[in-house]
Amino acid sequence: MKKTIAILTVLVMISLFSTACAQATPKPAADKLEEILARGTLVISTDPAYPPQSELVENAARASDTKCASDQHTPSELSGFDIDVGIAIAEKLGVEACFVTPEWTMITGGSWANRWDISVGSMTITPERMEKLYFTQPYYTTPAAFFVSADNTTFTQPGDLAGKKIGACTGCTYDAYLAGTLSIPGEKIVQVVDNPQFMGYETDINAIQDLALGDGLRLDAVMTALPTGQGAIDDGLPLKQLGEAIYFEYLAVAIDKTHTPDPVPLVKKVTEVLKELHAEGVLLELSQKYYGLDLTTAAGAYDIDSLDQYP
Amino acid sequence: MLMNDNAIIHVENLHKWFGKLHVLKGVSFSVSPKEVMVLIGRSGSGKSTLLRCLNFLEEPTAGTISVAGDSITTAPGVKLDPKKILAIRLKMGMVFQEFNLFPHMTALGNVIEGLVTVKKMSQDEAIAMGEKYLSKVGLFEKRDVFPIRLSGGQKQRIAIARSLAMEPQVMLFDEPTSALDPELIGEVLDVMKQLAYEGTTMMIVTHEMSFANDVADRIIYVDHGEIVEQGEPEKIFNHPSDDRTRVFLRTFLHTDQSD
Amino acid sequence: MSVETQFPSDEPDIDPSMGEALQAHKNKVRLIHTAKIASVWIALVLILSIGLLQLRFDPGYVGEHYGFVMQGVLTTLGLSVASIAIATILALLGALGRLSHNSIAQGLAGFYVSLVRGTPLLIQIYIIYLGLPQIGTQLQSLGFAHLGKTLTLTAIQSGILALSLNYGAYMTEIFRAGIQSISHGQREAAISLGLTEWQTMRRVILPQAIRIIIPDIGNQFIAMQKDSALVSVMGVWEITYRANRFGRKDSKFMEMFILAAALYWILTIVSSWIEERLEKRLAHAYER
Repeated sequence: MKKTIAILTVLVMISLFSTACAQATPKPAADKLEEILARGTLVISTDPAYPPQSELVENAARASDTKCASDQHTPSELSGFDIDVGIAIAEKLGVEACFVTPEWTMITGGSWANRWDISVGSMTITPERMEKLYFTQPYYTTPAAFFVSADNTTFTQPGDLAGKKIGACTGCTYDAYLAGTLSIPGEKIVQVVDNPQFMGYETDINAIQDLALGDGLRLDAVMTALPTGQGAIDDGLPLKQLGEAIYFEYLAVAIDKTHTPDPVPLVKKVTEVLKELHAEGVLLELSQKYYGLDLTTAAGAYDIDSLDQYP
Repeated sequence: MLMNDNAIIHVENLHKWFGKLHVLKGVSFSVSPKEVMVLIGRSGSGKSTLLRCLNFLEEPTAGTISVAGDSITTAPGVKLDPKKILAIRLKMGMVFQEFNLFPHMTALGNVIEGLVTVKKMSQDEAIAMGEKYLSKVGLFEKRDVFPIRLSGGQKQRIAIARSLAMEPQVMLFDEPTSALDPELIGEVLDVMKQLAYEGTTMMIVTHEMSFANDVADRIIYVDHGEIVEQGEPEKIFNHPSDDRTRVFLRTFLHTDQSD
Repeated sequence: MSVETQFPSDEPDIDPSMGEALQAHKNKVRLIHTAKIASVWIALVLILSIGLLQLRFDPGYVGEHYGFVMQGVLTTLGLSVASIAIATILALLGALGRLSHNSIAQGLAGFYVSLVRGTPLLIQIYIIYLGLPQIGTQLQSLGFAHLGKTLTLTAIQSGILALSLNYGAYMTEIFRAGIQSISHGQREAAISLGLTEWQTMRRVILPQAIRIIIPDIGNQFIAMQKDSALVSVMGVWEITYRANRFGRKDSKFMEMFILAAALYWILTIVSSWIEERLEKRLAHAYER
């Protein structure tokens, strides 16, 4: 009895401290980028809850010759748009991509305790998040657009929706846009619809289904993400897009401001890498592969320097 | 009274309070080597408390207790030294009404527990000693039996062996037969008689009056936390000088016989 | 001898044969009873299954993909075993503290139990996973480099620590009750033999208390297997995490969650069975 307890205690102590000590050996790096290059791995957070950006791969074998730590996952165990972008960034840096999968709120909240280096998680740049996180050049966008019934002939442009019943998810950016309160860092918002009648829904899908019941029956239009609306049309719902994208939400790589050592050179380097990936058409190709749409060109044109992030 | 210089136990002006209750009211007495002293009295008279104060199972409120050269004097608010208490405890063996054998140890395990843990004896030495005392109480063949398989009388004899094995200078018995079925009392009393015959110094709290009459060198009658009367059995049982003793003995012996 | 002659002479062996017949009858009754209970269980499982199929539950999907979720069983079990082991040590220390006469030990143990029992496990997980490293960073800036790194536990280590601390607090009360249930006479017998308080606890009280406590540890272990699902928030790929994230892939949440529920259920059935056997063995200990 006594012995068992003693042995258990020792085992537990060893397991608790072994990893901690193993991490403590390398010589101190001047900044985060240097640390990553010296380590040879880029630790990327992703929450595989959102296909097609990120999802788990069944029957995946962990790469055998990996430098990823035992509690990190190798690229083969995950798949999706975000995952491929993460791998492309790591390749450009000349290091191996490793993934960790904490909950989304742990990622957006900042203070990562140096557990992972970057988030490639389709994170929208918002003023609130900018307080805790640095953002790189966005790698793609979520365009917002209006959708109306396929039968409708009276609406020819978004401006025609003035005073009409427009459905959208409550509390999301479309809600804010229709209320005239939306602001997106680095983006100029133009109000194209006067006095819309906002109809709140729990999710975009509910609004789309109500619109699909018939033109003007419950809704005249829906405001949602372009890929979401396009997906509904692809699924056979009688809808059509009205005009061009109204505005873009920019989705970028995020890096914890509290990183030690200094994360700023890493932010700048990843921005540089993403600009290259835009220029080489790699990101556009991935966007076509996963969404069948060009969601990246606008992201490439975004002026990240306008955010004025660094102290 | 019977104070003498070669007393093995000397108690002076012992007081015990349980909250507001004054249970021992300045008791003093001595016990000589090889003396068998029996304490009698009504339940609640304080005789068990007196015994339990001697080895500090109950901490006395005030007074002096000396046992074979070790002495502790206490008063309200005094913090006692655990080492001194331990020294006194080791000079006394205690046998309880409820036996209090350790149920997770065999008979032998019970007997050698103190030898191994307290006296730091080697396992072999302790076992030899344990076997000797198991034989002494006539239960060598129960050596490897757990208490649950023993009768009450056997349990109490093992408990006696457990205390004896520590080779104390005095044995204290707190109503050792009160929890036993009548047919099992005899075997325990026989062991105690044997000890008395061998010259073991003993203090016994009991209601077994004829046993007391047989083995006691001296009887002490305790009432309301005070020693009312003491003397040889013949004197106490046949010619008690105090009315309270007389009333106690009359009612007690009467109810005893009517059982 | 004289008793036997009182029986009619043509039935000399009435006693043994009747004993066997009685025993056989008793066994038969017991078997029928067990069979009845089993059929109730089977009926309930069937009703449940039919109900699930009404929910547009797709058993074929589970059949194809159960392996992925099953891989989490080892993680769940490992987490629970490690945590219950540490929790047991913490609970023992906690109980000794609470029963101690030392005011500092009593204060420490009381504070630990009150704080941990008074806060949700999920929040404890967040604090250990995300809060401790921040303390570590502060220490590091003060020059305690090694200490700072040590406070940054991996997700699994954080999970084990949180579960251990949490269950240790609840089990402290179980241990305390177990220790207090040992009769006062045991302590008196031990100290009058000259054992110190600590020796009395270690040699006499604890070995007896453990027998009383073990069934409760078993129950806590069963509860812990289910509570370990909370560590999925740190991205540990145990049963719940795998079921949840995989279910999103093809919008087969119900299938994956029911699979996860079934796995937990099986784990607890096996644990209860082991615990019951252990309990029985303990009940018959010391009966030579």
